[in-house]
Amino acid sequence: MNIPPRIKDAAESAVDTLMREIKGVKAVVISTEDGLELAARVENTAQVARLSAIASSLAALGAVAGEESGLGRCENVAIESALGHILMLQARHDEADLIVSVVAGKDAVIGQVLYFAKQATLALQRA
Amino acid sequence: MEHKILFTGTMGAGKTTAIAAVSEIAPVRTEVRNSDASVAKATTTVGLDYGELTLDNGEKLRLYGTPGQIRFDFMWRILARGALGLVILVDNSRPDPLADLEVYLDGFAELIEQTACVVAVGRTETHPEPGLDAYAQRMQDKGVLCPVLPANVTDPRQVVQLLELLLLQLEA
Repeated sequence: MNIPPRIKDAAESAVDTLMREIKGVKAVVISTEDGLELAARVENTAQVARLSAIASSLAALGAVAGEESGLGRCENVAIESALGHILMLQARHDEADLIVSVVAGKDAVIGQVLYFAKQATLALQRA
Repeated sequence: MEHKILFTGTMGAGKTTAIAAVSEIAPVRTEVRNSDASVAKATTTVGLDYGELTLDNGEKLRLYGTPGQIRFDFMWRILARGALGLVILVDNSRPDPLADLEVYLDGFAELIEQTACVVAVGRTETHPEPGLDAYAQRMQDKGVLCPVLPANVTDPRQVVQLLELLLLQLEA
């Protein structure tokens, strides 16, 4: 993977922070925008590759939807499911655009998830 | 009459190019920077491609392209829904293009069984081997019967020919 070690380290650190800070978090995956896993903490490791690829597709479709609607680029994609939430945020770095995916249960506070995930993307963008 | 046609095949085989070559509308693309060092390509499709084409006989085609990599096979299943035919693009310059073909024959087995399929082999001018017979044999081994032909998908006429051939299969 063409990702500098500095960015990979920042991704590992961001995953640790998100797992620690977010109440009700079930998984955090940081992947490249073409769907390759960079760093992850998740109960079922088989999900990581899958979630990376799905986040990549959804972010790209979100980008098309935003552009076609004249709303500009996609900042994040939020999914509310029966048992929880999935938030996917874009982290744009000069050397690698990344996607931060957070899976959280119903007990999570969505505003809190969004706040910490945004902080994580800002940290990644500065890496 | 409108038909949904799906383009699939390996990363770099020309799915996005083929749709852009013939689409009457500005194609919808979901290309992002490629970070897979094993493939020398700047960008890659991660969601879908979309274009539209009206044939001379008035038939309107909605053209969808899939991501090539197997990690996006969930998109393959989504995009295959309602498709009336499949074009598999194979890049003959890759290390094992026959194995590549099998990935898509397996990945779209249900669609191929229910509808029609055409296999288009690219970059045969610079990489003549394996020949078309080898492709036909590999498909026969898997019990799949569909035409295989060389194609340069940067040429809109050749893409239209592929689509017409696919529609002929459907009518047969």
